[in-house]
Amino acid sequence: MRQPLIMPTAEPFYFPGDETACLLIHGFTGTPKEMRWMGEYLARAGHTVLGIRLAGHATHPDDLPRCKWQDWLASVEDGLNLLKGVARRTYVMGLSMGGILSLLAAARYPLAGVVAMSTPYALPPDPRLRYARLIARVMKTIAKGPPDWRDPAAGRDHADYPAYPVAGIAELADLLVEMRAALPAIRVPVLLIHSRADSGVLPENMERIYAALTTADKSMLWVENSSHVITREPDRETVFQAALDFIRRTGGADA
Amino acid sequence: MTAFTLPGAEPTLLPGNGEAGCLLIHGFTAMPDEMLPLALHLHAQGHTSLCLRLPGHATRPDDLRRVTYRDWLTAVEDGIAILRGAARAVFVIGQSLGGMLALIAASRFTLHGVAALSVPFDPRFRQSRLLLQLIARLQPTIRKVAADRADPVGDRREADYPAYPAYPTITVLQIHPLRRELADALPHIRTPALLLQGTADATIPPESLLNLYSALQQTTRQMLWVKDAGHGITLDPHRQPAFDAITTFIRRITQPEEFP
Repeated sequence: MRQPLIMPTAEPFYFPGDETACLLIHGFTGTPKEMRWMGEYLARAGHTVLGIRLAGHATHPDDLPRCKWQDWLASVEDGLNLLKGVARRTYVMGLSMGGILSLLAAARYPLAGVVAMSTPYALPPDPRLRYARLIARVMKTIAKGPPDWRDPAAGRDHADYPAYPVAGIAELADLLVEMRAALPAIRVPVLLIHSRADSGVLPENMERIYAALTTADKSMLWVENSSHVITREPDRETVFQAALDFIRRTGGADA
Repeated sequence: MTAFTLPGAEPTLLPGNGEAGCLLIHGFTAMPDEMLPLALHLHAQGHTSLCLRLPGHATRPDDLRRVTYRDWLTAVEDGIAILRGAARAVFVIGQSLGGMLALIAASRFTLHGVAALSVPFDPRFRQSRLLLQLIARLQPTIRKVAADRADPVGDRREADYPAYPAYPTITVLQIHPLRRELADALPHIRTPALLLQGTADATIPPESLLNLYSALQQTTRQMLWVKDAGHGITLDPHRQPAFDAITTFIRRITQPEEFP
């Protein structure tokens, strides 16, 4: 077996740039690929960009269920540690579970700011959630809903695992408990972005995160014509531009 | 507010001139800072240097329990992908387990060079998986230091080396598939290779260097006995000849015009 383990086109990416770095974090069962266009956009603006791969992701679905949320946060920590050597300040930008990890990172590590996109405040109420670790022993995976891409070409070209591991959902639920506890501790600027058409993580989640944030500089941006993966959907340029404006406004451009 | 990574053991990225990028991989139960002296040496030559953290390492020994050899191979792939963004020529350099991973990577990727330090390799080596599982039941933790300071979670580092003082016995099972992968990989490696081993290395089979050298038949390879160095060459007082050899190895490949 002389093939790489990481799915082709889903590798992490690094673009050297100025003293302002952006750490990009993909979502649960996703891959660095879903953040790559955003990374290329921010790199074209001159910034240093690192798109990390979260533990257990972008290889084989069997690698994910043995990960704990701490492993995912450790992946983020590794990325921040690498960027320490090449930039003076770091923004963290994440999609969905990557948004959860971004917000948690903002409460734990010194950052310049956070952009959290399509981020859940809580999982949809489901009585099975309490028993997810038990259920995971007999039911390994749960099917994903039907695709609802607004940009079908980007959807066809998407790289991710075909199903959610139940054990991973239990970790995701625990990670959300950590995030909700951490939100009031965040002291850096936060930009939240969500699509009103997101059927995977309902739009109300953004308002709940916003309400729980006590940081002096918090803002929300709605987009309309995208499903969950807004970094690859028709509104992506709006999203990327908003992230870049956020960096400029919060002092990341005067390197 | 706590970090997972032990203080001082964080992975590091040292930016260089964009020509050569070096991925440095530490050994089993060791930590990224094991490779830091070599990274600083290479960085001083203008090379981008990345000391990665292998999953399960540099945090708590218990984190090794849920890690498999696949996670280690994938961490190396991450490092290669990151370095490709920063440098034209990518070199992978590893010590002990890190050297096994470096050589396996050299069979799967187009690299400019691979340097393997203190890599154990005995093609006849056999260890019973079942026996090891049994031992892991009876003795779940292997302690590397004196028993009076061997609590695997409380202890952070060995006193005189950046490594765990103890580790889960069961994790040794993950080295088995890598031995097999390494044996399969060696005959297919076409990346130029530099092999190093200390003459005072008491940890690995002494014939490892010669075994590796003869198994690498598809590529240009060099070997160097590092006089009086032990297993952890990168932190050994006698490491300088090894560092010089690695520097020259990289130069010969990136600046061949300097070596008529």
